[in-house]
Amino acid sequence: MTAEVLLARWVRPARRRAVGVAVLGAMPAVIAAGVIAWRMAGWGVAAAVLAIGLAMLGWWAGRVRSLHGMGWAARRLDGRRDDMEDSAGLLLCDPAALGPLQRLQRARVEARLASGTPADLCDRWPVQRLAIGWGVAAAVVAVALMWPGADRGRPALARVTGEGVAAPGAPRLIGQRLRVIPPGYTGLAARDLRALDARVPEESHVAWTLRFAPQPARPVLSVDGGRVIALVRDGEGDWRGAVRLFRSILYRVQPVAGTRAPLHRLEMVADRPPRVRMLTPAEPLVVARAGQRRWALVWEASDDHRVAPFAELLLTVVAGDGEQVSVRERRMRVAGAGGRVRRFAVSLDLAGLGLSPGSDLIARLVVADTRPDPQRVRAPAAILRWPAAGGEAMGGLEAVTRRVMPAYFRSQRQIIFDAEQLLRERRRLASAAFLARSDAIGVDQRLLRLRYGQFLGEEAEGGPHRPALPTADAEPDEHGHAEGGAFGEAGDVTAEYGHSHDHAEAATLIDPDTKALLKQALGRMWQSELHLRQGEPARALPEAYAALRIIKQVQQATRIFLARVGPQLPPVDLARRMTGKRDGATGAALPLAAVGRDGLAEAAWDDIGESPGNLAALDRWLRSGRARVREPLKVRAAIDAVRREPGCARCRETLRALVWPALPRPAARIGRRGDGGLVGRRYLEAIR
Amino acid sequence: MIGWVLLGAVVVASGRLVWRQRRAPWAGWRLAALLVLQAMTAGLLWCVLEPPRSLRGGATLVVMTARARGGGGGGVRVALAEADAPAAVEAAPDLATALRRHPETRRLLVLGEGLAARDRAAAETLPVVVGQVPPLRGLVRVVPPPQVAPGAGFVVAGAVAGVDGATVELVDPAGVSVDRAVPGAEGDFRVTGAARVAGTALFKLRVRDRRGRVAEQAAVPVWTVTGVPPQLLLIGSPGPEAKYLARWASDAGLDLRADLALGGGLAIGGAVPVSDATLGRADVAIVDERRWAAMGAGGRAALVAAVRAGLGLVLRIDGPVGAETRRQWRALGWRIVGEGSGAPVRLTRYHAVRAGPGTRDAPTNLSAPDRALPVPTRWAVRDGGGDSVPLIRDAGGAALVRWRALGRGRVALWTVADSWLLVLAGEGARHAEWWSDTVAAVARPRVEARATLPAIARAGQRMTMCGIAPGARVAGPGGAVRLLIDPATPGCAGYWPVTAGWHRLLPGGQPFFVQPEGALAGVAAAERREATGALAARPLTAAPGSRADAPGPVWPWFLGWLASAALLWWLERGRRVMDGRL
Repeated sequence: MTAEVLLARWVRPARRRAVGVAVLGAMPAVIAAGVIAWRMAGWGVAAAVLAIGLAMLGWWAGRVRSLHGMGWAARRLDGRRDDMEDSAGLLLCDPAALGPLQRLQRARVEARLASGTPADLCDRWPVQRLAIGWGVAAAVVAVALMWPGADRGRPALARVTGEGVAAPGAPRLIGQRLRVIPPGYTGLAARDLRALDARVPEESHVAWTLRFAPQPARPVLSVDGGRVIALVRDGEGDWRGAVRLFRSILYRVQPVAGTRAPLHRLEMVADRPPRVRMLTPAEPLVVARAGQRRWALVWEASDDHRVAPFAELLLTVVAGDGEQVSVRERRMRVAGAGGRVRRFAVSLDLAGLGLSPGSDLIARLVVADTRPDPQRVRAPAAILRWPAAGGEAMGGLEAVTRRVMPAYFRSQRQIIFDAEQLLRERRRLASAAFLARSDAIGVDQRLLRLRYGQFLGEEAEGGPHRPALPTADAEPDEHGHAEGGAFGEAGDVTAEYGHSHDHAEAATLIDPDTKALLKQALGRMWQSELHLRQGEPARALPEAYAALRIIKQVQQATRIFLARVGPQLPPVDLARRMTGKRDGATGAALPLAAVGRDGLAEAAWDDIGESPGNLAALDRWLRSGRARVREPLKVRAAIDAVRREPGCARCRETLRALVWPALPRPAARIGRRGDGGLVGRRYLEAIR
Repeated sequence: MIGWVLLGAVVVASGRLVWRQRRAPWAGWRLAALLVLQAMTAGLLWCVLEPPRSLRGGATLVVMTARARGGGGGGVRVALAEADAPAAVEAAPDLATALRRHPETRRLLVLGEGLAARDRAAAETLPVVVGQVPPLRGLVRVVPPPQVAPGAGFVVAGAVAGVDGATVELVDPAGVSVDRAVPGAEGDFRVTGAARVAGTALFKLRVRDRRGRVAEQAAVPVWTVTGVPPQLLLIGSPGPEAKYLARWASDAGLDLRADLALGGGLAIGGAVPVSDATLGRADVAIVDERRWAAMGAGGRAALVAAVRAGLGLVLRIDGPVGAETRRQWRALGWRIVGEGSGAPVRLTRYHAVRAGPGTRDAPTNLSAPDRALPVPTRWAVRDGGGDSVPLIRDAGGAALVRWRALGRGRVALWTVADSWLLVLAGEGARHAEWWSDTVAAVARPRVEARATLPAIARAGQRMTMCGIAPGARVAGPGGAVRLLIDPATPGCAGYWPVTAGWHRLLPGGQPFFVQPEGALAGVAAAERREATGALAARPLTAAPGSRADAPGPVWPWFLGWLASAALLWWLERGRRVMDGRL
């Protein structure tokens, strides 16, 4: 091995290390310069900057490489190793040209060079400096990327078509862009549109950038309905305006006030409340199995945007029977899994909830979406029933009746408890929550009132009027009721309240005293409900107590017979039956009320026919509420287009296409055939 | 006349020569030559005065019409205005001009799609031969519906040619395809739609090829008009069928007289006496088999007599038909086969859009899952005489309703046993359509003063209108035009629409649609082809060559006459010289 080869072996790692340090050190600067160039001047310039940077980097690397030659290695060896005795340079000289002493020294150095590793000659990695360099570059890149106000990423203004012709010299819209920024909770990205019509999510921020030529003095966006959105001129000579959309709007771009420009449509897509589906259990009413300890419940909620990650589970444990029912409520937070569609699963510990035989557990899930004012949806209740111990011994009928859901409504006593509880919690509750709970109790009160109202035939509250029974008898005068019959006669009560022609069992019979009491109770319940629904449980309580007292009296006083439910056939006149007598029986006219012609729709359709009308009939039809137009805003825009250009056949065609689906289809009528004229008649008569 | 004069002259001159021969005999050959020459001169003079048609007899004129290619052999070749022939071919604006230019024409050879209407009159007197015919492509026949009643269904029939794997769609004015049909082997198709309120509407026929691309699209004008509602006698027994029939009839605005017998002289709606007076006022009577049997011979005779006078009769079957009734209906041409109803009526689903938006109480839910179609049943009935017209068919092709003419009226047989199922299954529109079609087909005819217009009118093409009053005008997109009635054809006038679109005939406001100029090119080509074929196939009553309006050239005859007269003069002169010498 010659000395040169030996030395080259020492030089190589060190040279590699030096080039690596140079490249790693300069690279951040090149990258940062490229990113800045891209943000400032776009891709082309950035590519050029990168190319130049990389070329300079290459040149620098080459230079570093050439600096780390043999001479450098000899100097470095002299510097690093004492055993070189400052004679490493001798290794580079031709041995033949050296003196004998020098030759001896060279041999010694060469022998010593065999010991030690070449890596010793390398510089250390300048970790700290490299880290600082990369960190600074990363910061610069981040700043460049996030630099605000840069409009480069957005599309240029779109060219305008169909904005009509302006008078020569009058300002005209020549460029447009619509930026839609949906509210954050939707998770939708902002987007730039080239058209001025759009469907946007509710409460989106909508910004226009418009360009006019020549520059108008005060262009505006005039919203259909009188509102005006002012436009502000920006530095580039474009006009900007923005609005937060709470409803769908039709608007015109008016460079000069009073211009009849075409209507544009911003249609608001309302946020839908979440939809909840109960997966487990499949049936709303579940009877607990013997020895059941836990109850698993799974719901699935979906929303057009996102479902809130947590839902509220309302648990109600109902124990007892009749008026002795005790109700306990609990609220739980349930976390859901998934994104757009979330599953809420919960496993309830029955013993922990205090469930005992003969009690029910009602679970309702309230799911919200992610809006700032969330839309809450209550899932259908799932009921777990723990049958009472003696419940099974009731025979075959029980299997049918026990599984039917009873109508759940609260007793008067329970309403009083609820109201008192609410009053106790008043300090802790926000006023809105207080009002909501008071209103909920009011609803319960109403249900109870209606329930008792049924015993009175529900006539006091304008209940459904029973239609006349379809009998073939000639109608007697006003059912022949004795007006204001004497109190105390059971038959008169029926006549007064029942309006029934049927036999006694099918009617609700209440004796007059009970009836009077019930009416009082209903009156009290009315008052109680009134105050509860107005958020004044304190004023409702005395009324509720009074109602409870009266109901108790009713319970003690009498029995109430409930109406059987069955077909309501006209009574059979047994006196006449099977006798063949048909006195008084008349043929009935067909009880048909024809559906008339929809003259408004006909006039409206005729109005958008071939002749240029002013569409007044169409307006009337649309306003009448009978037209079931699917996209009213679109129709209004089309009407406006026809009015602006009465001669525009295409606009008329568009309007007809929009109105056609809403046109009613009458029951198929008859087209009359012709008789073929004189010849046809003669022909038909001749071929008989 | 001239011929007789000349003949007389020849006879007199010949007699004079013979008489002269007796006095001063000539050489025999000279006399013979003089006699022949005299006759010949007279004949040539006649030809000068009344020149025969042509020297070159039987020339064929090759006429190139639209899409004509070469071929057709020799003969004079002209290209009419619509042909895109090479420039070398002589161009003529129309056939009459070409014939004036070529008076020697004895026969026409037509190449291409055929002669347009303006040229057919010129070709009347000549034999026509059809040469190369280009194949048709796209819609070749379209029968738009005549006026439609509000809410009623309508049929657009037609034919497609030259489109591989074609399907035809009917598109409603909102752009929704409401029906689709695959043309049969002959290219015939039939699509159905439904009208809505009175007024005009433009549907579209869209032909798609195998790959679903639109091959052709054409406007189908639909004019919906409310006519005078007929008076309907509903004579039968109570039941769901009668109930829903009455429901439809009153909704459709018919003047309904119901007589649904409950037995014992009681009837829902009140008894309607089957008398000449009642039947004479009514337009349609719907009678079921029980009431038919209970009507008595007199009632039945009155009913049949009323039908012969124009009443429409719909026979309905509610239960088993008795032997006597079968025999009587057999006489009317209907044969009831077997007992009981059982054959299912197969239905196809209509596009949900067809039912319209519904009402506020019962809106049509377009996004609702499809309901199951009901399966009504029908009675097996055979057409006894084989001359009835099937009116409504189910998806399997079985005729549900047939009618036949009886005198001036019509009798229909409704074979569906339980069409009310349709109403209960949400197919009320179809129930109404069926009954509307049936009643409309048989109801007493009613002459309404309407003008007769061509089924398809085109911009830039003359159309004839008949049945119009003096002083009528046409109002269109281009303004109003007064129509001039041709005294030769009373009540008829010609109109030349310039712009496409809806036009109205005033007074009265009867609308008609004018198709744009290039629309329905295949239909126009088929029409031309058919008319030219008819020209070629017609027996030619007048002998070819009888055209008096194209005399041949005179000058050859004149020269011949001059030569023969000169020879005659020379021969006669020679004799005179000889006489002088003697």
